Amino acid sequence: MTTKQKASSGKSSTAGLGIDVKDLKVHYDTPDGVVKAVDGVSFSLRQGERMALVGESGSGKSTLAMALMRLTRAPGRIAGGQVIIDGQDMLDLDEEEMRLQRLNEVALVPQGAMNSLNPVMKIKNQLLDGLYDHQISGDQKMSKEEQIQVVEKLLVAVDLAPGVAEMYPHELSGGMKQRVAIAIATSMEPRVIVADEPTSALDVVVQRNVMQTLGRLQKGLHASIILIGHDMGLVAQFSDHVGVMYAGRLVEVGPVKTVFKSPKHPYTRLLIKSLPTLSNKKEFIGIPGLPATLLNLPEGCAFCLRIEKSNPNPIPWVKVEKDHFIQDCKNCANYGK
Amino acid sequence: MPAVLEAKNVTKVFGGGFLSREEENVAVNDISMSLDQKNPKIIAVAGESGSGKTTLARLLLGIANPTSGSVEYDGKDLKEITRTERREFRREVQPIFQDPYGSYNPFYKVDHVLFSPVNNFKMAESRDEAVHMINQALEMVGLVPAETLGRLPHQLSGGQRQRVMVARALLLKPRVILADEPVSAVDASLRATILDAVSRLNKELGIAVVYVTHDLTTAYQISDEIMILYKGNLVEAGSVETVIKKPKHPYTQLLIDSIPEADPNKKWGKLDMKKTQEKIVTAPSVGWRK
Repeated sequence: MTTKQKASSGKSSTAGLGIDVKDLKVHYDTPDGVVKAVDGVSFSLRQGERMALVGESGSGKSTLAMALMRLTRAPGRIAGGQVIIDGQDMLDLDEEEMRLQRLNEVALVPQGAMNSLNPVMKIKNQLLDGLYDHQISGDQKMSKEEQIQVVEKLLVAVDLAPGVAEMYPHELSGGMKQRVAIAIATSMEPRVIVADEPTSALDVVVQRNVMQTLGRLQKGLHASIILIGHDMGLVAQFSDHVGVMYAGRLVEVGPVKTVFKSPKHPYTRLLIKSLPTLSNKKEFIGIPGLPATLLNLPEGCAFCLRIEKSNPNPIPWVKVEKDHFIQDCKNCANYGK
Repeated sequence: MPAVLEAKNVTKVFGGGFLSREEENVAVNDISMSLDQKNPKIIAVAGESGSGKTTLARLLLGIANPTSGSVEYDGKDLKEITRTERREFRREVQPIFQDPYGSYNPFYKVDHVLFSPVNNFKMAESRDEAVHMINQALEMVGLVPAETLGRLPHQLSGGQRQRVMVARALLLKPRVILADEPVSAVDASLRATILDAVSRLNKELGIAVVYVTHDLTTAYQISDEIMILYKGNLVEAGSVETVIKKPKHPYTQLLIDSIPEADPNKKWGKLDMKKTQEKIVTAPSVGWRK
């Protein structure tokens, strides 16, 4: 992209590693106690790889997404851990430094782009906003022609007509707004894209189109992408790796094909079993019990509590095979087999 | 015997008209469907946003009036029934809406939504009988009465709240349940329990169900017949097995193709939106048209 003048700043220095998250903790301080919404999550992702994080509502997945962007708001706070992108721990930076990293190194495709665009600003200005803010063109401002070129390029890349530049958000459909959000997120060629349920409000056909666009751009940029969601179908379609979250912890991480074929953690197993499919009519089984409440969650296995078992001991993080890890709790490992 | 509920060539147009600046919007265009008395089925009405599925549901519930055509209850046009008949209609045709939280008054215990219809329609002779009925209805939808009654709405999970709504509908011994997106606001892992409850009402109590949804996978799992709507038009209808397994209309094909299957080995194919769009507009509708 022509706007890119920092291209030589050594984006390919750390070989292959896109993002490395180590023991990340996000806590909410509430009058009733500390809610550990993200409780020691670690994973890493190579450049150009796609990973999906799935879980029920309240599993901490959106909180994790916000923490990766360092956009956690009070009463939430990042209580520990590291988020390393390009050799730099994002949690070490001061506010201003971090602000410059957003969009440049790590960008967010928000949930429900409907509400994330400014209603009184033309699309072209919203696309240029980030670039200006990060002073992409150095001291000299972009000329009118340059601006038009950049905007057009960004719009065309997400399959929108150049004419959209002169429109306001209310003139666009949901799918188009989501495309604009993707254009903004990729405008500075970030190393990591965090997509928080990017298509949850869209119809299936539009969803398919938008996801394919997002995938194509991500491949072109060779960026890592973290897709947050609850739709296992979308995960199967889109990502290479999947991480399953339960009660603020990762319970299983692995390549998508292996995890869908032979899930090792009981929660993953039930999650996949409870999915309705088009291929066969079967008895519909939900996951028994209720999702865990995160307030004062005891140490040990959180899933055991849901199925009326218990294991208060620390649960080891065990490698099953290459790239495939689970929280291996002896008491519930065989549940639902 | 007339059908319990029947839509005869209903059309609903919004906007337009004399002195209106808005263009006409045909939300439902000449659709007919009927719910059989003898052989109660689950009929899914499926489509994307803007397909007219919710408008059709509102017409069937008598909340909206058709611009042309008629909705008939026991063979009588809804526009012409008497007050007593309308009251009976309100009891026998029960809605379940999308957002289970919106149906509750947050200050009242959940008991309120269960006791008031019973009292309103004088379904029970005494309070003991009412309690008995409510307990039965809650158990029918897989809830434990002792753990449900006496709580405030926010103390229940979304899935539990929606199941209480199913129990509420059940209390009135309806002949038809019309569920408009009953599970789209509920976590995937809890959907099965709600849909299972709805499907049991149909199988065990013979209640006909209209299941309005955008989700073809759940429609396939619980319904007998399906109607696919596109921009107000019925494009394909028939038994769920035929429509889902052998879709004939290009729009149905596109919908089914676009569902993200939870199988990493069956990925979405390439899609030529322009070509598909042309095909959809020109293709004739498939399946029953009455």
